[in-house]
Amino acid sequence: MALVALACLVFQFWMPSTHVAESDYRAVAKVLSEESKAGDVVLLHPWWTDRARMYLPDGLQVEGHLTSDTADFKRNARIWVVAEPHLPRAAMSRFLAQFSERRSEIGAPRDFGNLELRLFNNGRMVPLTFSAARQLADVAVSLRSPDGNRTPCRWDGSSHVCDFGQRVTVATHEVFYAPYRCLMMSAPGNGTSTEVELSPESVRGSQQMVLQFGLLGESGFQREDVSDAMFTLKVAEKEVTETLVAGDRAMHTLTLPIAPEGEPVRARLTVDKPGDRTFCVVLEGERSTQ
Amino acid sequence: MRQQRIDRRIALGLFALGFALLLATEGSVGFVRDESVYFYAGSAHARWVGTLFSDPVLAVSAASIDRDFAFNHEHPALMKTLFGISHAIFHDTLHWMRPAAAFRLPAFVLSALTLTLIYALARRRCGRIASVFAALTWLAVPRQFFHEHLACFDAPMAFMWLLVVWCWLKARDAPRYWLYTGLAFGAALATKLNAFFIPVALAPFGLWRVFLASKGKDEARRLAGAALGAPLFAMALIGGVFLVLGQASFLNAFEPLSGLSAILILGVGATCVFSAKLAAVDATTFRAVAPLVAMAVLGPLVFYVHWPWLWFHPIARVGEYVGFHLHHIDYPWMYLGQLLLAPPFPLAYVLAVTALTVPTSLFALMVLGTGSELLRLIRRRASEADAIILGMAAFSIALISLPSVPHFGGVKHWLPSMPFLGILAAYALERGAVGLAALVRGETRRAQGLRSVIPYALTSLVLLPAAIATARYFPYGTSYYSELAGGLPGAATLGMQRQYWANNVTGVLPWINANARPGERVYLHENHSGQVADYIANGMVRKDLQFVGSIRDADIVAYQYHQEFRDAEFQTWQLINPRPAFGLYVDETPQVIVYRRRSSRAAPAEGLAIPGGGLAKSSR
Repeated sequence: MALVALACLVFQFWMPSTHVAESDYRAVAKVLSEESKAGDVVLLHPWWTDRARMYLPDGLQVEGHLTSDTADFKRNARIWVVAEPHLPRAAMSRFLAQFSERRSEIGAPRDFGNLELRLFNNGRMVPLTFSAARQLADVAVSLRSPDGNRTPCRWDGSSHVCDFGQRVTVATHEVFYAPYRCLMMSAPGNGTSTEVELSPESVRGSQQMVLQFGLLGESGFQREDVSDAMFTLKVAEKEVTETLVAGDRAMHTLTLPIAPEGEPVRARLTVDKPGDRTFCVVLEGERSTQ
Repeated sequence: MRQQRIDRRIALGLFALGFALLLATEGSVGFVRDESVYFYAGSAHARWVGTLFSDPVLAVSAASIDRDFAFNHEHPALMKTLFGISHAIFHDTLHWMRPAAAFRLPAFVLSALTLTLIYALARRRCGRIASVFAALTWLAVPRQFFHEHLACFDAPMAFMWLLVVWCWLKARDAPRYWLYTGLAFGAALATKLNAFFIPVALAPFGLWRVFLASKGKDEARRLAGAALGAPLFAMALIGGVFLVLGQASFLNAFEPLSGLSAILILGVGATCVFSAKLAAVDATTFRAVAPLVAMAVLGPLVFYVHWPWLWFHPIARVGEYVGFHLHHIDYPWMYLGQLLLAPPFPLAYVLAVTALTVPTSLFALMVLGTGSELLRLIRRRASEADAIILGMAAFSIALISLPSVPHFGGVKHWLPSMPFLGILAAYALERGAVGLAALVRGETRRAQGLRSVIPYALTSLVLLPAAIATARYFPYGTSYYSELAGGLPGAATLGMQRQYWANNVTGVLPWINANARPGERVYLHENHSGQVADYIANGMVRKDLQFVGSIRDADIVAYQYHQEFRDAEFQTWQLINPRPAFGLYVDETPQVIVYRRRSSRAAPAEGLAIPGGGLAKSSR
């Protein structure tokens, strides 16, 4: 017991020495402002070390959330890892072992007190060819009744406004603790779907379409008086469907290949009892990972 | 007698130490979400007490009672009334202290008394050093130390549980303590709902005691059975009627002059008569039976009398009180990377959280003490008192471990186990000290000196890391994690809940006071209007600021970092600013992050120095 107490005493005296000085954050910020390029992303390790956000250069994408250690960062060519390796349970070598898969480190790690800065080429990058969130005005939105009739929604300059109080707009929201820039949408219920349609021209050059969907924020906790939601991705005549069970807060993904010259694309949400839940929908075209 | 005098002085010293420490450190403890509600309810209850003195007839009218007790009637009135009276005396009348300190004063008294009771219970078996150690564990666990500051019910409930057990043990050989056991149980019922489980925890020990005491005494055993059986028979009959009639008809039928009331009165009357006969037949068996009977009779009586809210509608309102807690909502809670939302909860949750939130030097001793007492019990070497202490240490932890029981609220729901675990830790510490001393051979003066120093040195060594942690994490006690977790950073990586109850906002209030423009709109995320009003009333935040209820309406947002609230932070990034202006980062973990609207005048470039801030707080 004396040994346990001694170890605890050492821990209590050692813990403050793992803190990061403001000057070290500023030194890292200076390097990033001088050396970062458009499309770079900063990954925090451990994922919750958000204090760095206060110092990092404006405009630089910073990621640190519960699942960010394993994220692909498909849209980013390079990843800066800002790590605090001396923190308890930081497990830097284990993190690097899985993080480095299909990524190559550029140069040597740089130490700034208790901060460590590393730069990686992101071999998991997949170029984006189309984003419904970025090009919201270019998509067509309609309500589709169970008999197949479509009622087009009206573009008001910032969102698509539909009957039954439905609105499709863009915002950054949380799904399973991670931020997504997504289409916020719901469906009127009773079998009527909300459908997003892309023209072949808008997705030309893409090799696959990706539909991600999940429930937004705290509304995702709702399980009672709501029904499961069905998401469908359709490229020309090919179609895939997945059901999002009420209370399931994970982000789900559907993909379909698409001809490089472009094909019509539809993403559909059907939910009989939506309640007050809103869904986060990411619809993107990308070059194939193959 | 001299030994007793020394013990009394030590107990008094512990009380003074605890009370002074809590009072001296109270000023920096934030108001948890429930506490502001209890402040308000306490003031209303105290107003009623004032009416009772000025106009007793008016005070006991249904209208007066409803006016002052309807608010927050989901908890009994004892502690809230004490909070309110203390506030009326020490703040309103004497102006001796700020409002919050005056409200909290009764909680400090009970927590300080907890130290003395732990000492007294441990002293039954341990030496003075180990007994003092047992008492100090109540102060040296950071989360407990935090809860002891609050005008809430959890630390008082731990005291009440301890008090019942103390009286129960004394009742074996001291006259009248059976009566005090019943009164103490009534006070516990008047404190918090957990008290309903005290008889469940103690009954097996009580029945065993009755069995042993009445062995070979037929008449005594028959009377003991009748005394204990009468209230149970009455309750079974009433329960049967409830099942037959259903809730609504049952409540209508349970009038003061009804058959059901008659059953209840007959049951109570019969148990009193049989107990009196038993006292005349066999004093030993009576002493074994009496605490149980006193709890059954006096407990509900004290509970009813103390709470005017029940006076005119006892059955309906007790039903409502119990019903509220049976159907309490489950708040989201992070545990090992998973957000727990609804039962069934993981069986190991309570044990795991205890292991990760009690300083490891103390937790290791608690485990050792519990393990060795369990072995002694199995080998039938444990005394009745030790078996009870072991049982009480395990009971609340086992109860909250049930997968269907709500798991939010950190460690506070099983706080009544902790004083008993402290005593078990003291047993282990004392054995360890004896073992270490035995390693020192020889009878030289040096060897003797070394042997006499070992208990002090070992006790200090074990307490020191816990005391340092308590000081380092204060006043953010809900954020503390032990060495076993890897501290708070280790717990964050493990995916544990890093704070709860919204009190950590105090870490950013000085920055807001120093940097907000006059009249600026401030949103304190997860702090309700009662808390904001209390921060203003206690001079912790500027009066001129406008406190708003949403991110959209704010110029300054103090976001409380919880996983289930991340969407609020992402909205803040879009609506206010993606870059924090300031933050409370405890051992690097984000707790409360302040964002300032981009169009607002820039904050000062340099950080604000916060007195006593041993933890990292950053500003830009």
